[in-house]
Amino acid sequence: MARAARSAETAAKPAPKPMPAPKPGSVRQATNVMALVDVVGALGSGTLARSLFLFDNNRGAGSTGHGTGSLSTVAQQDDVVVWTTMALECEAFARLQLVEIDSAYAEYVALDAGAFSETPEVYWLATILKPLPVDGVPYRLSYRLGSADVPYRAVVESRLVPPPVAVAPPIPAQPDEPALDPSQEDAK
Amino acid sequence: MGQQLGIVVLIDIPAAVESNSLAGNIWLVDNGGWDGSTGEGSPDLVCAIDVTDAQLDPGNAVLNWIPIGIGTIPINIPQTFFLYDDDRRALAQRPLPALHQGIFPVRIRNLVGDEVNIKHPGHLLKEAPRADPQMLLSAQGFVDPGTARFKRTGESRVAQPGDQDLVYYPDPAILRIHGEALDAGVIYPAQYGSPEMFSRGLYWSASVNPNLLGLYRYTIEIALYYSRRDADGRVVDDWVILSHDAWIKISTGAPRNGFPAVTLDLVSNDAGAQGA
Repeated sequence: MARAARSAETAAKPAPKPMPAPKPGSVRQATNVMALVDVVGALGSGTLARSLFLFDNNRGAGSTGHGTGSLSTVAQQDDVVVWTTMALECEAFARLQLVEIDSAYAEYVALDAGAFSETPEVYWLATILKPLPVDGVPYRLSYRLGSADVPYRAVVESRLVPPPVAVAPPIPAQPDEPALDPSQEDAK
Repeated sequence: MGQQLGIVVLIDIPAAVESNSLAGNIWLVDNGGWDGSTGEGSPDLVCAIDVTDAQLDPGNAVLNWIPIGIGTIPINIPQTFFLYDDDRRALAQRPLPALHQGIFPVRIRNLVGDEVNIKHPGHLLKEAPRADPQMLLSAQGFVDPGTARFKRTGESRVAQPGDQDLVYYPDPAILRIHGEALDAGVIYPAQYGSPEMFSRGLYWSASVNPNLLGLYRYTIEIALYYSRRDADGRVVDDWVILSHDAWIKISTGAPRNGFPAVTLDLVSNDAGAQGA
């Protein structure tokens, strides 16, 4: 009876929203960081060193480090970065436990976590609050693997970085060099 | 029991479609790193297959390919996640017997004798779930406003949390596997059907011939699906078929036992060099 009453109560009240919810309309772009975890490999070796493979879908904007344990994801103000997890073996359990960011960077990112509705599938979410520092915001991922009672922490850190600044090298002026005429070009 | 190897093929679908090439937009990872696979997390994967005990145990090694789009919805998510609100409400409805208790018995037992509460069945949702406003269905997809709205407003916008009608890229599909490894009779791939959610129903799998040692190349043909607008501004589904090469290395070289200092002549480690 109490249970029915409680469910009626929750049905009446809208679910409380987590604090750093991005305001609708304010998201510029959402980037996915996908972690592929070799759970058996990590449990066997006791480390994520060779068992964590990170990917994102923002390589076009300059992200680097795909397929390694240290990814640099390009993100700008008002972007949202979503971390999802996939286990290499479909039977194995892997869940992102923590996205560890030093509190010194609290002004740049707001972190949040949740689960895809009606599933136990966890995602983590970072909202970029202001343009990122030049060196980026380092973070460290920790995973729950199998039935191990301690989380496995990535051995290297990954980063959220600002878009690379395109520096076009100045073309040196060479007034003495004669322009090639078509016949010379053919000879080459 | 033969060795089971999973090969995850990750693709940046928007980038690959845009450049019409998989170069730089594909990465492969397998779970054979302990066995000497190389190139994991790169486009050039060499899967190591150890057939040392093939003579003792006739079970062949098996390869499984799992193509994934980076930024698509995690593969462990059940298909019910994709339901629209109407379908969710229908699923959350009380079953008929609970609504008409005079006609149907209210207390029933299942096959193993447990009493089933048909008024509040455990497997049904207590209430119609609401979409999580934070949930992002896909990464850099664009919200498709639909043909009619598109014609009226003439605009689409960047995806936002809470959007329902997001155009997203379905997971890529392997169409065919061919190449040297098949011509030589090293692997025998085929597409299989499975009710398992993980593979979304269809997957490619191959058994490995343990009698041929060496390094062999094979080619995967992958279809990438996407939506685009045609000349009239209508959203149409389209696909592009791209191919990629990978390798398998079959060897009998696995001196793995409790006595690492002992080397046995019959366990050699040079099989990889034969085919290379």
